[in-house]
Amino acid sequence: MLSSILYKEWLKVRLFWGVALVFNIGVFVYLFVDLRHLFTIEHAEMIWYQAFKIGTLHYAYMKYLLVITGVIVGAAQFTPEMIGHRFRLSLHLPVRPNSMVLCCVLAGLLGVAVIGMLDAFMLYTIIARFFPHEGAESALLTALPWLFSGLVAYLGTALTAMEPRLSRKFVYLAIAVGFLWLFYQGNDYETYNRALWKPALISLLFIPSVILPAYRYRNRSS
Amino acid sequence: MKNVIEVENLTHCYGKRVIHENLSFVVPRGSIFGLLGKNGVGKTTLIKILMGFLRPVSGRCRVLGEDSHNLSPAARTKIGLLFEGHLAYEFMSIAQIEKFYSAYYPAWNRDLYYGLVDRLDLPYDHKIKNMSCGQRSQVVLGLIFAQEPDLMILDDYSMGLDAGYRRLFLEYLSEYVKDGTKTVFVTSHIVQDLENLVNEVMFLDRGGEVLQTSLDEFMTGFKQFSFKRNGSANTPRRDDVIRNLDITGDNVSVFSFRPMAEVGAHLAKMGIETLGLEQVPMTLEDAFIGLTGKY
Amino acid sequence: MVPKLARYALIVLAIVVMSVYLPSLYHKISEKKVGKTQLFFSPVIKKFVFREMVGEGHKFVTQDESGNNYDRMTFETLIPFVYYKNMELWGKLPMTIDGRTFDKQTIKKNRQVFELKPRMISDRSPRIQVFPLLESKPGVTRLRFPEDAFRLTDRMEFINVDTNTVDQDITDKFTNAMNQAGFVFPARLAAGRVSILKPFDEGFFVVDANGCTYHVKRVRGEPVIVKTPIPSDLGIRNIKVMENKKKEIYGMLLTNNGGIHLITYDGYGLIKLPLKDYNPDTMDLKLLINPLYRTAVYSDDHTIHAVAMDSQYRPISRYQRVMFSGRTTMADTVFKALFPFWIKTTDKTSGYLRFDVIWNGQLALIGIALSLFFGIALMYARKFPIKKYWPDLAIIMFTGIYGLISVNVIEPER
Repeated sequence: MLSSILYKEWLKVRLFWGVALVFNIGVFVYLFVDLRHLFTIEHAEMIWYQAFKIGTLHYAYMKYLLVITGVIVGAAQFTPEMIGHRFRLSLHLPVRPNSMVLCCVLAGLLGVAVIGMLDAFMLYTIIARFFPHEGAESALLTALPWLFSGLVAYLGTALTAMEPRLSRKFVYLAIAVGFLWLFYQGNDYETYNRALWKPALISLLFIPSVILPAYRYRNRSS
Repeated sequence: MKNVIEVENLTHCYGKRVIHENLSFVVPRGSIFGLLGKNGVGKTTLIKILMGFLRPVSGRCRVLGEDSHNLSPAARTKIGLLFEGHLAYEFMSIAQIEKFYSAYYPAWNRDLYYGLVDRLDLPYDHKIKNMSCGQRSQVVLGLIFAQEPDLMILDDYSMGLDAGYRRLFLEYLSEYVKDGTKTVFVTSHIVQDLENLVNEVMFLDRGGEVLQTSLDEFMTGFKQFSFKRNGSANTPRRDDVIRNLDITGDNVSVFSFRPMAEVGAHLAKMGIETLGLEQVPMTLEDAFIGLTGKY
Repeated sequence: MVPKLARYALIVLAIVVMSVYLPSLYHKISEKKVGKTQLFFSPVIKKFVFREMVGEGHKFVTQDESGNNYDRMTFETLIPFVYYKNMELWGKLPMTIDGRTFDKQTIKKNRQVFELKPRMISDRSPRIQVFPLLESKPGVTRLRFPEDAFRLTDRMEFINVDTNTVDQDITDKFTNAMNQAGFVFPARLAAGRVSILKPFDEGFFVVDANGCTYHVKRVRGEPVIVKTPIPSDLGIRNIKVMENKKKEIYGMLLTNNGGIHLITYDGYGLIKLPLKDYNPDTMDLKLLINPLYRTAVYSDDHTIHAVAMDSQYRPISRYQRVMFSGRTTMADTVFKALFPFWIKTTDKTSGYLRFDVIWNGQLALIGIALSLFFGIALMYARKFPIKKYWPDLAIIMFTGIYGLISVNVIEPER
């Protein structure tokens, strides 16, 4: 069942996932070009001083990249289902509806996570080209909360899309936005090193929570 | 299992508007059940309730012996469902959608699907969103046949289908129900198709009024009588004898379940001259319009 | 059942979100600016004097420790070494205290401030462990960052900033010099002031695997490594190097048990500051050196302490007070009653974010009782029988207002 759902979700989403992927790669190409340019117009030792002592994040514009990716994947996955109530097609499949919804969501999470892993690889590689490996590792640790915010953004999009009632959509949206903002409480490098595991662990609750709007979708009265 | 569908005291409203009121009926196994009614009487709503996509205000529905809003995957394997508008996942192609659905049904019959779909003469990678309404309908119906379900629920199967394909579909359907173990629950706008297909009918009217009967009983029991009236004569009205009437100039048609003699006497009692009262043979469509009116 | 659990998952998420933002919003609305007390030791009256903000709109008191009030001008004349510029303006310089005369130049030359905030302690903030070792004797007046930076692993590795690769020659040179001086890798701590905005450079103090402290400098490109006599069993937690023209003190050393020592230029001798009740993790510490006395002032959000010392750092007088800004306000009390707990994410004493649940104690029972009352009322009004929906009340009982809002906005399914 899972492989069949993955097949369907992939067919549905692949164009937009591809667009998101290209967008992510584009941002990193820009990062590379930007850093390369910086190192030609400024002295390297000053750039290292700014990065390590002052705490300038040269990759800061990546902050919301995975949030945008998560929303794109979520919208691409669930908008076709909600238009014309096509979600009923999947709900009529001979599988338990809760399992089916969880599979769909796991498929989307996988899609976002794959891009996130690629981002991590690109970030490390690019930073390590210009800075010692400590700087590259620091960049990864600093960017890790943004990966979680991207996953929460995806899950929030899924929750909001599936919910049949408009007023409740806003509630889920508020919870998702409020939660993902928890990953942006600090601007310095590695500032989440000690605390990240707590909100990251709690954010896992978004996964089972998608069952509620799907249930409400099936049990509406109009 | 004697009855494939059992509905007991179903009531549903959209806000203040009553759609169904204490509706009760059964669909016996092996029957071909036609649900007829004008637009907006609640045919699609009833199907949504039967399939567990809508919670009724009150009442019980059982499909294949199971509670309709909690149908098990095993039950759903046996139910082929055509959604209103021939809903389908439009991002898939002819081949992709078959591949997707085949994974879920153990008795999947690929040949039935391609038997219907090949007639479209389209490449297998042709996407559904690039098809016309009718072409899409053919694909979706092909999927339902390939599933070989015990119960087929078809909400307005004829939408978009051309005459030739409609005929083909009815042939497939007749073949499908031949052994008497399969059940079909169908609605259609083209009432005439159903005449040769269904053996049970249920008429839904606005406000929840219902008439359920076998097709034979309906066609023999429900009659149309026509006569000419004098210009200044009294106008007949609907009552418990005259189910419906249609007046065009001097030509009057009355529809009733009563025999002609009773109808004639009833009209005479109302002071209406019935010149040339005679029974008019009806098709199912005539009878349908006669029962529910033109508007 | 499963949709029920899904609802609870959402309720937990909503509660977590609210317990971060609602208290934060409350603080933003209710916070009234009351600055910390400024505490000094007056060389004139030999008493502690302070300036405390006691209300909004620049309401200050300026008093001494005995409770005597002073007007602003008099207050400033009591601490002339702090307000020496005003002293000059008011024509009070040169001034004589204890038979010694001080003019502007003397005061300026003998003033020094050392500061240690909790955030500055190395284990309280993230820091990428790559550092520049400046050339100590550049032959020019302005210091410059070198073209390399070092990391300490099993050797002292220098990375060239332009090629981003290890410079083997410099690495070997320094590593050998470290080894020769007796340094045992890996290092526990490396401390230096990474800046070119200082009068000169004193390199790095590096603590080796055995706890011995070495002073590492780069002089005309060559390594100068000195093994200091700082005891290896001191338990060094942090060293803050602060180059100062007076060349008396290298910097401040913090030990694991909260002791503060000054590292002197006199053979790296340590002077321990006689601080009482000093908690390096919560308190800002300032050491004010002036021509006559040395005053250490340390405070958290609640209490301010100070010890006045002579030029040998022997304690003369101590003082502490609960600051006006540290008192519990009505807003604090309402906060504790309204929210049973809150989640704290930021911490000004640390460069690391937190995510800690802070319980507000018994006062919260008031808020919980109110929330339960409204919870029951709402359940009744919305026709959710308590017998069936009691878990929602249980949620309100533990989470107060957060639960009340969550269970009612994310209604149960009928």
